[in-house]
Amino acid sequence: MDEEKDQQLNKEIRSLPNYQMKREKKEEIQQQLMETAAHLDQKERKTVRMKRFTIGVASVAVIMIFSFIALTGSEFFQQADKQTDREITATDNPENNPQSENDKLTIQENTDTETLLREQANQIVTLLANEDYQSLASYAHAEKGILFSPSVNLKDRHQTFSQDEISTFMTDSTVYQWGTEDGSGRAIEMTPKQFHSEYMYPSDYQSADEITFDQFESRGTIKKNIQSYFPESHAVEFYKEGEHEMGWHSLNIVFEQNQIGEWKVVALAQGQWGS
Amino acid sequence: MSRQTIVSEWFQWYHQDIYNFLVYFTGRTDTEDLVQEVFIKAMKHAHRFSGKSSPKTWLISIARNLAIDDVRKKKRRALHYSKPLEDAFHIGDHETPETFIDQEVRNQELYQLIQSLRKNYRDVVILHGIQELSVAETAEVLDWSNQKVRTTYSRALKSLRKMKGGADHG
Repeated sequence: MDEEKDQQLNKEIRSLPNYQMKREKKEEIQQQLMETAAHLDQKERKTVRMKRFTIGVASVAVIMIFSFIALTGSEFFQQADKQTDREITATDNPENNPQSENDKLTIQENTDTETLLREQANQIVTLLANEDYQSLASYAHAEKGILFSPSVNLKDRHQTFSQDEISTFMTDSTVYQWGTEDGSGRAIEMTPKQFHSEYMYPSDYQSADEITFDQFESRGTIKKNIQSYFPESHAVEFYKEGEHEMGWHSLNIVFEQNQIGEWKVVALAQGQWGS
Repeated sequence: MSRQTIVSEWFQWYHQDIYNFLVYFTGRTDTEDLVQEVFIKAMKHAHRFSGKSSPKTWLISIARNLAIDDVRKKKRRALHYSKPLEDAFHIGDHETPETFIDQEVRNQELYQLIQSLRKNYRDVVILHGIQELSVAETAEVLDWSNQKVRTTYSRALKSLRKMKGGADHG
């Protein structure tokens, strides 16, 4: 009995109208898609050409280096044979090798910077989670302010807030234009508070699935230009998986040194599938 | 094959399926922007399409994810503007399916009952029932097992029958 009723209901469901997109709208969308596809294909061809060129140049360079080694090889090995035990001992002693010591110092400094910035980034994520922009202001670069970007492709037209403006971020009721949505191209127009929940803290980054340092490769389809936009910067990225494959979010906290050498935040950029 | 060729073929074959799905899924008929976004995302990520599933299933998965994100965004905005969630679907003058649903009262009633179902029942009714995706295809879009699709669909029908009974006798 129930089975019969289910079959009847199933039939009713399947006979619900099938909505058709209007022809003009379909043609308009198709036209736009073709243009976007052509643009992407062209971009891809350029990248392939560039790669081939780079490989070509690299191959020539390798051949030249090998030729040089082959030509000078015999002389080189003869000199090597003449090396005394004293010289070998001297090379093993770090005190006699200042270049290697400098390298070690640089590595040490870099590691210290990474540790420092990861720690600062954690503090900033806690402030964002608590919507505490007043405290966040003290982390901002005093001269440059913070660029708030809805995408990992930073642009001049994205909004930059000074330290003072950041202090009042959550109470500022002005509707700003923050950029455009990927795909639809719609303008992102909202108040700072709305931008915070939609683009700065849409996910719980305090329980991030991955935290990376200077990960300058894009996870999505949009080119990540943080390194070229802020060449002297370091960035910490908090990545959070989504409910579905394309639902991930990331927050990129970008630091640059101020005039007295302190690391300060110059940009907060969100990444997501397609932005 | 170039993106132009792929997207042109996929758009020709599947744009109506995607549009129809989005109309039922979002409860709006002005979903053309989302349709466009689906194909833009698909062409950008064409290299990720494994070919294990049909392009139609893959495109519907993208459409569903985009529609969920879209509703979430509208919900956030609606909350900020202190408007009830329903208003997020009714900004502007766009028609809703209720206003032109074949003029058949029974269809309208059934459509409204489907919309009022709990989320997973609604998902499976739209995909397996209205879109007529197979059990395996529905399972793929929803990332469920085939068995879960069958059980949930059966429960959704039962729930609909119950509601219809209430409506008929009410």
